[in-house]
Amino acid sequence: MLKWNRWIFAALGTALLSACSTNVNGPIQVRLIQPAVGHCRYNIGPATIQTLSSLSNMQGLMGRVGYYDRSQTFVKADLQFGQVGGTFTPMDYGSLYAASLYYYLESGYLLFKNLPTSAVDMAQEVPSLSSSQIQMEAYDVNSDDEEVKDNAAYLYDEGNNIFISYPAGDFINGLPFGMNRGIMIHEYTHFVMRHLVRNKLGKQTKQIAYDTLGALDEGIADYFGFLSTIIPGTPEGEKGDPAYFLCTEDSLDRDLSVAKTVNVSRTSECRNDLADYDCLRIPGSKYFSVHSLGAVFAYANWAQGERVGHFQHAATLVNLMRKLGNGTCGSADNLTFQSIVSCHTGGNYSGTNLGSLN
Amino acid sequence: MRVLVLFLFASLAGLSRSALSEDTPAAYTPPLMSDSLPRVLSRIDKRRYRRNHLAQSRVARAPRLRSRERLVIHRSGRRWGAQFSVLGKRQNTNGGVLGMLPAFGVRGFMDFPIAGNFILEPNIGLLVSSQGVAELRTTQLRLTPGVDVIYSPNPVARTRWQVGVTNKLDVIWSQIQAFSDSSSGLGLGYRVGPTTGIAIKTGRDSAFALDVDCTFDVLNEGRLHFGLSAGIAFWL
Repeated sequence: MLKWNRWIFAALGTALLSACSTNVNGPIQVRLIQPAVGHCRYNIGPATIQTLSSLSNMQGLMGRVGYYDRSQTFVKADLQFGQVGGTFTPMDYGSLYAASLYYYLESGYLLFKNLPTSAVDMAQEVPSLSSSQIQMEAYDVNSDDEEVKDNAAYLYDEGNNIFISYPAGDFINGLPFGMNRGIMIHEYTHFVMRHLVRNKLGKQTKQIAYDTLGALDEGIADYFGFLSTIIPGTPEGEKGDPAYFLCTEDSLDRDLSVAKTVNVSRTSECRNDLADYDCLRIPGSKYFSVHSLGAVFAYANWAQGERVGHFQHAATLVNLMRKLGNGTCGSADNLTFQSIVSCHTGGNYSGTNLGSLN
Repeated sequence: MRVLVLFLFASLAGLSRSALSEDTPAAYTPPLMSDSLPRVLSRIDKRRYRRNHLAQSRVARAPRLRSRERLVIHRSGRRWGAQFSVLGKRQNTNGGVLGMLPAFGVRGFMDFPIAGNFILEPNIGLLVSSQGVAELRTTQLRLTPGVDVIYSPNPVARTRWQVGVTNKLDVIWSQIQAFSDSSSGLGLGYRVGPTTGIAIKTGRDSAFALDVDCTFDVLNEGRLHFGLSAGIAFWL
């Protein structure tokens, strides 16, 4: 039987060893925010991160989470995790944010990899995936010289994949962009689209009307973001949360389950923002509002997914991306939104007017 | 074992310092010699120490002192205090103050002169920090027991300056809240670094005590922490 002083030494030793062991390889359990059944419902609990190589550096197959500071240097974020019973807990907001970003992007990777058919392993498609930058609370200024806040983005810059989440602004409801899994998987889907379509087309991309690919990109991204909110196992969970965007930005009319159609006759000035859904064409311009047309495209796909099963339908969208990339849908010179829709085997765009859009 | 118990009893009574005070300045008078202790207690302790060979010969008579000197001598170096504390943890993301994530709380300490002008200062702090955006909030409650080893050129001066080394264990309870759900876990840290402070006499037995420390969490990649505490110290 141990004496009391030995108990103290044993407890201290165990505590110090566990605290020193945060530099571990995945899979590991980290306490994070995860979607639960229902609209804007979340559970906080252990989530399994599969591909991490270093928790303290937040680095693994998906890339490295870091902080892009004002001196334009990508630096490691200051992180701290505690461990009890095999589960790591973020010890501050920054650590929670960093782990969430990595976990959500990994969820996107696994979502595409585990599709029932037409699965795509982006680690195979993009060997440099582990060199990606995952920027938390990136500092950037817009054209008005104001700091960018409340947004997320994917950038492809000279072969580098960069996932960005901007700092939270002054919104008072919901979760920050970087902690909304649907939104980060939306950005991950842009990464997939980049490598399956745009990079495959190469210079031909410039022959496609600027916003034709953009709107397709946004629509597919919205739909895969929705897929990440589905919790298999119960009828309620399998409905997912098609309004997941509203859990971060409730001013957006971006609910996938709300019917949207193209208003091709519109001639009034477009606001060119996400809430102006029927604003598709800037008068005098051939360009669409990519988010608006994307939202119409996303609704049509959500409706079809409800009919045939969402993951089965998602596989047809991966097929569409592959066909666009290898030229099966036609040459880039003639690629319009209408031809893209026609090329989507398994798609059903009745009632959206997308089929008549040039 | 009896010797150990006697020694501990003597320490608690403030008598063991006489064994350590041979090289201390004249002002560093053992408490038995001060007139702050009742005479009857002194006699009891004297009888007890006659049976204790360790301390028998070290009990001395208190000298007669003028009132001003008595005030100084009364502050024998052993003191306790309570302070308000701010602890900044280096954080290169998500704002904070000057690149630090602040935690606020209270701290208590007790000073024990150990040898010469060196002082041992066990202390404990309780701090809380919170961050959040909209429906998301993270809260950390931090219990920080620690021991400082301090040197003061003149521990009984009216304005006392001190410098030393601090080391603290951090036991951190962290809670994440989002919408209606919450979850929490524990973490550990061990910080070590330099500390300095100043105590300015404010009354017969009290002083305003201001302490700062700069510590590095050796269990978390040497992460920098900066602590500032201000409050009242009382001499015993």
